[in-house]
This record gives sequence, C-alpha cells and structure tokens, in this order.
Amino acid sequence: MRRIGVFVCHCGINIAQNVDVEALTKYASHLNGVVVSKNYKYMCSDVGANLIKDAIKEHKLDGVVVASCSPRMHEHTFRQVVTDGGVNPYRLEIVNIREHCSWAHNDRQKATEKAKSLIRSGVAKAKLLEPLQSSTIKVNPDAMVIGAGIAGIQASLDLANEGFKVYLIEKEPSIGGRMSQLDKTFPTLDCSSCILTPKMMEVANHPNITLHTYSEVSGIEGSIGNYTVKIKKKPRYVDLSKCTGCSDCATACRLKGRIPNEFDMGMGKRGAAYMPFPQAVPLKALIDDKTCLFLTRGKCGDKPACAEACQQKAINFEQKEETIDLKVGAIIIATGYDPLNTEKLYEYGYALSPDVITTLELERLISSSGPTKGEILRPSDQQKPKSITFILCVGSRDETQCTWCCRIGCMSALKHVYLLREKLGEDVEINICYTDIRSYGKGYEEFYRKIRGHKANMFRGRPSEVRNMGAYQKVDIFDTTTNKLFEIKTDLIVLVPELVPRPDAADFARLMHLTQSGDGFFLEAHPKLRPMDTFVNGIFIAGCCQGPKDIQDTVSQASGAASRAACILSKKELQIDPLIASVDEEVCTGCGLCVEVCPYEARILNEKTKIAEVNGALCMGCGACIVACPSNASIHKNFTKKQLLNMIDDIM
Amino acid sequence: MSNEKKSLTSTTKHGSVLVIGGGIAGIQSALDLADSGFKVYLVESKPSIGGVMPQLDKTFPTNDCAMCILAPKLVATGRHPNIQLVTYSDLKKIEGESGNFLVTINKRARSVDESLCNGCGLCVENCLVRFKPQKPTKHDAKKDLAKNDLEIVDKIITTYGKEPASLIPVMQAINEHYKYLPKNILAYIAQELEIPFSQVYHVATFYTSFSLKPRGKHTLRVCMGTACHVRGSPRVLDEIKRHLKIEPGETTEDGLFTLETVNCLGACALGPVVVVDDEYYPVSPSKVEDFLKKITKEDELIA
Repeated sequence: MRRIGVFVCHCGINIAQNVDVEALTKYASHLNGVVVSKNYKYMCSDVGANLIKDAIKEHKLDGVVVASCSPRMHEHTFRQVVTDGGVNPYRLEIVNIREHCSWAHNDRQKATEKAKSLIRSGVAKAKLLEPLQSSTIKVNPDAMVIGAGIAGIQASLDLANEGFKVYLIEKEPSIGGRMSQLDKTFPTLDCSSCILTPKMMEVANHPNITLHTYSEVSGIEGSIGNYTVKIKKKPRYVDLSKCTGCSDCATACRLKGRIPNEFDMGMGKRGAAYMPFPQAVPLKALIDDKTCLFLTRGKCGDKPACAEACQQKAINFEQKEETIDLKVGAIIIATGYDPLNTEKLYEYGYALSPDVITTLELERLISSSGPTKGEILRPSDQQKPKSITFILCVGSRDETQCTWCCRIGCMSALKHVYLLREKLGEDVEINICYTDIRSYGKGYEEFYRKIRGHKANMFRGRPSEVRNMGAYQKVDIFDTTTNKLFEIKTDLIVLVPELVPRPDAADFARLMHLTQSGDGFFLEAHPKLRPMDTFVNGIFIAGCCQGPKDIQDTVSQASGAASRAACILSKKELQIDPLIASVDEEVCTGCGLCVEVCPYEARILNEKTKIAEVNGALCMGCGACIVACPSNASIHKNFTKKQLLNMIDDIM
Repeated sequence: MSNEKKSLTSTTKHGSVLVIGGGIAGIQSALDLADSGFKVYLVESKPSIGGVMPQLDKTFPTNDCAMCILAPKLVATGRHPNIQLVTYSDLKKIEGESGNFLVTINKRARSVDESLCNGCGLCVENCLVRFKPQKPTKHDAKKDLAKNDLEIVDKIITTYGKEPASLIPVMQAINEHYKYLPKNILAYIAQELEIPFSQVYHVATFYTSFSLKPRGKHTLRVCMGTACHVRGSPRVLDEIKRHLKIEPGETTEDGLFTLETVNCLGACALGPVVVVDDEYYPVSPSKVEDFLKKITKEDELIA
C-alpha cells in the first residue's frame, strides 16, 4: 500500500479565490492511500518546498500529489523537491487545479467539486506510478549555425570565441546577408559594411569556424547533443583553393553585364562568372549554372572565356554537387527574412514602372559600391530625381497582406531622408507617407526629431494608388492630420515593404521539425522567457527568421542564442527524460505501424527479432506509437493503460 | 614596462562571472552562465531577486501571469549549485581587468542569518510594528500660543461660541485685534472649533479682508473705482507709494501703514477717496504728503 501525500497550493489568490483550498485539503486527507494532506500559499516557494520535504520524511511518503498550476509550469520544480525529499521524481503527480478549476470557472462551489475529482484521480494515478531513472547521452561539443547574416555571424563568433567548433552554413556564395547590402545603419549612421566587414573577416580567419558557403541543409537526424546534418554543397565551378579573387573571369565572361545581380537587388548587372560583391567572404568567384553558356548549352565560343582568363586554372566545370554529413550537438538557425514581394501589390505600381523601387533597391543606389557608384539616379532615364516619395507600411499592418509591423520601415525611411539630403542637397522634395512613425528604440525618437529638421513633407496616410504618368508618378494622399487630400507629382517612389519569412520557411521548418507562428516566422518556445529556444531541444533561432527586428535586436538575440547553445555544448552528458515510449517485447508482433507513425524517427523495427524498438534519445514521448499499436505492446512509461483507466474510474 | 605588459596579457583567468542586478535580465544571464559551467555571483541591491517583473500582473502579448513564468526561474536561480546569491548588497569598487576582476561588495546588514532562516514568516507575524503604521502623535495647537494670546483668543471664542459656525466672526475679531491672522492662532481655532485646518485656511484666503501677513497700524485703502480713477486716484496711489516706499498689499517697515487698493468705496462724490482705517478722506495728489503727516501727528497726540 502506497503512502501518498497531497499538497494543495493557493497560488496566492489565483487558486484560493475560486477554489476552497481548506475543504480540498480536508477532503484529500480522507482519500484511500493518502496519509497526509496540507496546503500553503505558494507551494513553489522555498517554504512550500520545505513543507513537502518535511512531510515526506515525517510520514515516510513514497508518492506525492501536488494540486497547483499546470505541470508545464512547476513539474520540474516539484520533481526536484521530491527528489531532495527522497522520493523518485517520477512518483510525483501534478493536479492542475488552477488552469482547470479556479481560472476556468466562476462558481466556487462547483470549481471546488471539480478540483476534488481531479485530486481523486491524481491520487489514483499516484498509487500506480512507477519509479523511473533518467538516462544520459554524450554531447557532441560542436555547433552548427545555419545562415550567415549578421545574426549567424555573431552567433558563430560568440561560440567560436568560447572555444566551440562551429560549422557556419550559408546558402549564398558569400556570408554577410542583408546587412552587407545596406549603406548606412540607423540611428548612428554607421557605414554598414565598415562595421560588418571586420566581423566577416574574423569569421573567415577564425580557427574554430568552418565556413560552408553556397550550401544548404538537406536533412537532419538525431537529437539534442547528437545531430547529424546533411549539407548539400552546390557546385561553384571554381576551385576555392586556387581562386585568388582577382575577378579576371568575371571581366572575361561573355555574358558580362547581362544578368541582374542579386546582391544589387537587380539594380546592377553581372555575368555568369562573377564575384558576389567587393567585400565578399570568401572573396572567390563562382559560375552561375543557370545562365552560363557552357553549362547550359555546352558551348561558349571556342573555349569558355573565363577558363581562358583564369591564370590560376581555378575554373573547373567538372564540379558536382556533393553532400556531406556534419555531426553537431546544437544548432542555431538564423535564416533571415525577405522583403515582401511588392509586385503583387498592383496599386503601388511596382511592376508598371522602373521608377517605383523598394528600400533595399534604394539602399543599393545610395551605396558607393552599388550599380551607380552611389549616385542617386532614376532607373528609367538615369537622371537625378527632383522629388522622391516614400510610402511606408507597404503590405504592413494590413489585414489583406501582413498584419504585423516590420519594425524597421519608419527608421530606415528616416535614415534615407538624411542620406538623400546629404547626396542631393536641399532643393529636392522628399515626401513621406506614413501610418505612424514608430521610433521605439534607444536613440530612435531623437533620430526622428533630428530628421524632422531635414525638411521632409510628412503625410499621415496610405496612398490608395501610384499612377504611372510616364515621365513622373502621381500619388493621391489623404493626410489625416490636416484632413486634406494632396496630389503629389513625384519622380521616384520608394516602397518600404513588410518583412516576410523566406519562401522556403515552411519546407525548412518541416525539415528541422520546427513550428511556425501564424505569420510564418519560426516560433519561439516562449515569447517572453524563451525567445531563442524552439520546441525542438538543442535547436535555437536568432534574428529575423523569428520575426522582424532591427540589427541591434538581431545581434542581441544571436549572442543570446549562442549562450543558450553553449549551455548544452559545455556539458559532457545530458540527462534524458525517461517519460518515453517502451515496448512490451512479449506482446509486440513486429507489424511496424509504430515505426511509420513516429514523427521523430525514434522507432526502429529490429530486423532480426522482428520486434520494434525505441531510441530513447530521439523519443519525445508524444504517444503516437501507443495509439497506433494494435496489440497494446507500445507502452508509455507512467501513462500506462492501467494507470489511466484507474484515473478515469476514480473520476467517474 | 615588462610588468605592465604581463598584466595586460595575463592568461590566468577566473572561471567566474559577476552579474549585477537580479531582475529577469540578470537572472537569465546567471542561469545561462551557470548552466554552461561557470560560477556566478548574482548581486542584487534589494533583499530579493526578481526585479520589476514580479510586480507585473500579466505580460503582453500572451497574457501570461508574470509571476507564474518568472517563479520557476527564481527558484532555479536560488537552487543552482553554480549561482551564489548576494542580495541586499551594493557594488563598492571594481579593480583589475577583463579576466581578472576584483570586486568589492558592500553587504548591508539584514539582521537575519540567511543560512538559518527558512522563511517561515513567524518573525513577520510577531513583529510588534506589523500592521501598526507609525502615526504621528496628535499635535496640540495650544502649545504654540503665548499665554496672553491664548487669553485673547479664548475670550473671542467664548464670545462667539465654540462651534464651527462661529468661524468667520472669530476670524474677524482676531483679524481686527492682530490686524492679520497668525498661523498658530488659525491652527488653534481649527482645533477648538473642530474644523479641518485646510477649511480654515480656505476661508482665510477667500476673503480679501483677511490677511495672513502682519499688517500696519493703519490701513490705507485707495479707491480705484471709475469715478475716483477719472478724478486722479492713480496719481494719488503713485504719491502714496513714493512716500511710503511700498507697493499695494505691502506694509511699511515701521509697521505704521499697509497700502491697499479697492475697486469702489461707494463715495464717488468725494473722489479721489482714501480710507484710513474706517475714516474717509478726499485726497488730491498734491496733498498726499500733508495727509500722511496729519495721520502720524494724530498718532503722536494720542500717545
């Protein structure tokens, strides 16, 4: 016969105001198997913990029922408490009388009755709980960072400087991400590449960082502490060890200046053989196999011009895509964002006129390394614009597009006002159509006030349409601060689009077993207290793949994610929760249904014995195999049929 | 020189970190560092860690109960073998450099032995000052009055009756006797008539005939009504100001005259008119000097 103790928590007044805790305590003391029953204001406090520990010793308890908040909240706390008291942590049962009773019901009487039933069933289960031991797994101390924008770079550097080996994976031919495309950053007006390039160089030269550019993740196996990640390395057709980055091949390419350059957001042109951008890391050429004449048609004049030009003989058309396996203990995902595709917003006329551009395109126009060498020229006629109009919140805070705020649009537009005034002088008209100016960061409001002195016409409203008049653009804007309709004739329209998840975010999430929030960004485990963690242990997120944010927040989050990853990597061994599936070998028929349903690939059918097995490190205890098993051979530890039926019997 | 260089490139590092501030930021930093195997000292100036977050009820945008999501972290911090809490303490001095800091911390006296206290709360229950806010002892306004003042005021109060309704007549009598309302006497009236002092002050400042400042022996009221104004009362006022060297509302240094202006005295036919105490005098600007001398002479004669 078990000796059970029941401990009822008031949770301040959270539980006590709607549930009669005294009556509950008295009721529990009469239940079969219960030898002690107590209540306290905050059971999770040190005092409450001591109360439980003392009761365990005094009454020689071998099972504990705590009636308090959700087990998600304090199961860990109370398991530790009962362990300290000398009871196996898995002989603890939490009964949730807060979320299920006091918060859910207004009728105190009925809520108390419900709490009584729940405690009754909790005690019924506690009587049958088995003591379990958690097992340990060894931890691989290497880390992987996916995405080498500023978030990935920061996270890699932090981890590498702490002494961990880091594999940094980047899809593009160079690291740097979105930040490398920017000219200046708000609110300090630091030159973006001047502050980023040193970090990129540090990544390139760090002995602990192995860089895999032009590579993508194609598969993942394993679990926290022991992941095996498949990396698909796209062929670059340039031997990295030989290429010196002289860009002779790019100059020689027959398609030079004919293919829109991705780095310049299509504002500039490149060849099929090209350098990603002047500060690229690694500073190596590559050949684009989608456009290269030799790779698409098998013929490029008599001989490929790039191969002719390369003195290092680095061009190699024989390169093939290869897949490598990397073993790591923790993964940080920093895959970034895309600006919303403004082409589908017909009213803004992006597709109709080259003189309607986006902020990132303007960024490339302003940048001295951009296609116009920093001159602000209208794309249609290469003339200096006399009037420039910004439209903020394109697709943002809009029920039909994206409901969220991009958090950087207002500030980036204000920054552009400053840069345009600097480059074009006082006599250029600058109009800003805004919804609200959200200058929430440190120094942002001050920056906004400073820019107000730079003669920008602020219109509070969203233009309904941008009309292409050929030589100029026309915008009707109803200013809600003056209640007046203005008609603006302008030379250049700059759209400030919403930030959206990468187009392959859903596929990537499925691949990595991540969850997406409603907006498509990767979901954090808790928005306040676990903003870098995901629901998959050992995988962390940082930067804009989690949601729109500015560079400051991105860097903070990246350092935070690195710190979270270090918590795992610094340990030699990890404890594995024993609340997982197991197999009754005598009953298992080897049908393999459990193997099919397991979402974590934790189930294997032993070919020899024809009996299913469970990989404890991978099993998350979801219970899918338990339901699927037709012969009751799949057992969830401490959620056995007998235990659950006993609970139900006592509730009824 | 070589010594300096040596200290700059020192490689003997301490595997411990000091976190200053035990709010949610400090707690999270401490936990992450401690989980990574570093020894952490968490210094907090308040008696408990937690910071502002436990003061919040719910957190946006999820409406999570702030305490409910913070409490597990508080408990984990308190229990972590790698974290040493240094509460109720302030940073005093930092020496050294990155990798080798020596930090001096001032631990304020808690007057409770932290290693022995188990948080039972019995001392709180039994504390004698618990639930007994320290009220200031009631002040007796009588003590602030001189003996002869007390006699005068008591006499006035008995004349008009010791009830709230007598406030204005009592104040008038006092104003007449002292030529103003001294603060200590007002406080005494409030106490005796059982009226809040604020209400007494309210009445005293409402009527212009009451003054809270000491006034001269004679009050000169210069009429600035339309008729007097037309007949030259501003010039009379200017003359008086020049002779007495005071502005309206002020009292001369010798305590003889208080100057005031009024909007109409109802004696337009006599204008420009000046009322000295309760006597009406038609005064022209040129006769101001003589007029003032006459009043002082009368005083001397009486004396």
